[in-house]
Amino acid sequence: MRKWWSFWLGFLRIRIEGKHLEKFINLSANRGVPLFDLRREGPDRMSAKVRLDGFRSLRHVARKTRSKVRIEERSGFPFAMTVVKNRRSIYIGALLFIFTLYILSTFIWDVDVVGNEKVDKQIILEVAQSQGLHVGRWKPTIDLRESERAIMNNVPGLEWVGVYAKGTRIVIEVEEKVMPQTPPVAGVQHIVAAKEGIIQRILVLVGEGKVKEGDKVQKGDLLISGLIYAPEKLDDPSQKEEDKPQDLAILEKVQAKGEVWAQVWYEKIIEEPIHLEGAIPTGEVTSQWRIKWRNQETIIKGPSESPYEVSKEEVYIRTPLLWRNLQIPVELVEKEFYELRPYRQERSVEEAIVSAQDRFQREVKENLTPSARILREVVSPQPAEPNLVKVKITIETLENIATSQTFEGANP
Amino acid sequence: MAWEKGKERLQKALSGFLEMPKDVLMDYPKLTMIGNVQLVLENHRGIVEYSEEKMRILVTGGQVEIRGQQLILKTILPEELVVEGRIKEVIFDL
Repeated sequence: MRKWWSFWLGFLRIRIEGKHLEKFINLSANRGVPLFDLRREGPDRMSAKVRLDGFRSLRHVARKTRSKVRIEERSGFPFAMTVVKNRRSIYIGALLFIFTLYILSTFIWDVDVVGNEKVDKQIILEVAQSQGLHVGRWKPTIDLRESERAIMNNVPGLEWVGVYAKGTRIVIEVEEKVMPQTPPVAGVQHIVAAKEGIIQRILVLVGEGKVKEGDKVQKGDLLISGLIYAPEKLDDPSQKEEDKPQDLAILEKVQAKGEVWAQVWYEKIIEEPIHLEGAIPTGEVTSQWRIKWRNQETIIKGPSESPYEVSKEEVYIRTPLLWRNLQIPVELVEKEFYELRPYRQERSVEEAIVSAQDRFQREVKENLTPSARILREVVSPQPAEPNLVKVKITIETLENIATSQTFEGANP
Repeated sequence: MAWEKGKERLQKALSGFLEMPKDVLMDYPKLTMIGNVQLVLENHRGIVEYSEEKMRILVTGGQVEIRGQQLILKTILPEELVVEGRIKEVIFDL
């Protein structure tokens, strides 16, 4: 710390000649001029180091003790500066460099758009360009708030626009409008079966129910029709009593709505080995680093081959970024070897069946609609080869199988 | 003279009573040595003699003599000095 400080202040190595050198030391110490590295070089000679700011008062001391002081060496920042003073062009060049850097930093060098997914970046950039947000523009002449407003007004589908300058970069941050997903089709539609099953309950909100409870339906069968035909028997009194708006003999097209709950079966025959065999990682990892340049690869760290008997490899490629998006044509490849250990799990027949059942249940649950529930599960063992179990699993569920289907192309 | 002695005795008694370090109350020199290569002396009163082999330093009540080889005065401040080199002897002449 003291060295650093004395570098900035500058210091001198001096040689003192005289008869009363001890007096010289005492006097300068009393005056508060610290001397460093005093070295006796003879009966009436010694050398010392002194800080530049203390040197002036040393002259006074030298006169009092009748000794001569000669400067041997100058070092430190102030003397480095005198070199600069003598070479004017270095000084001017350094100033010019800083000045140019400063001037260049007041221009825009990059325009970036952040946060757009659906809206095209090019459209935003074009509007920004017309507002003056382009490469080479002088920063103080840009009104960020004004360009925010302009982008907001001229680019459709944006909820919010923020423009800010990050050094020489202009970042246009946008937030897109999120359209609600729920209104599916505005037009007319049928309700059809999404799965095969037996109808348990049908609730028609809009449209005409085409199935009854207890009916067996296939996938894609019409459940609730969006086409409403005029009653065939107009003279039927019971039909007349009902207050129907579509009394006319023309048909009406509606958007059918409703719920259709059906019993659905999932069935599968699963073969499962009784004893499980495989390999699991032990946790031991060895990594190998390579440098790839063109077609040559050099291992810089780690073993050349996997040190384990059984192992799994994973390769990561890291491309170092030099600066922003300047890439250097060297790739750093990391290969990791994970040691594997073979294992064998002894299970009983029952355990194998339970695990197969679990697996199937998980598989089924992934395809269920959220409100569905499992009613029954039947497992029936089948004859199988040794070391294997074979079971037929039936899962019975109750779920809403209604899905909508448009029929815009349907006959009028 | 009698007054001086009385003052000194009082100071000594006080420093013993208050458990104050003697260098603070009585201006004694405080020497700190690191092996035989460095010696820090606080409360010096000036240098009497200085050469590569022998150094005599004025302290309160007398002198301290340092003998050795290649002695250099690393730093000298109004109150403190640092001697470096191969120190062989430190002699008190109080």
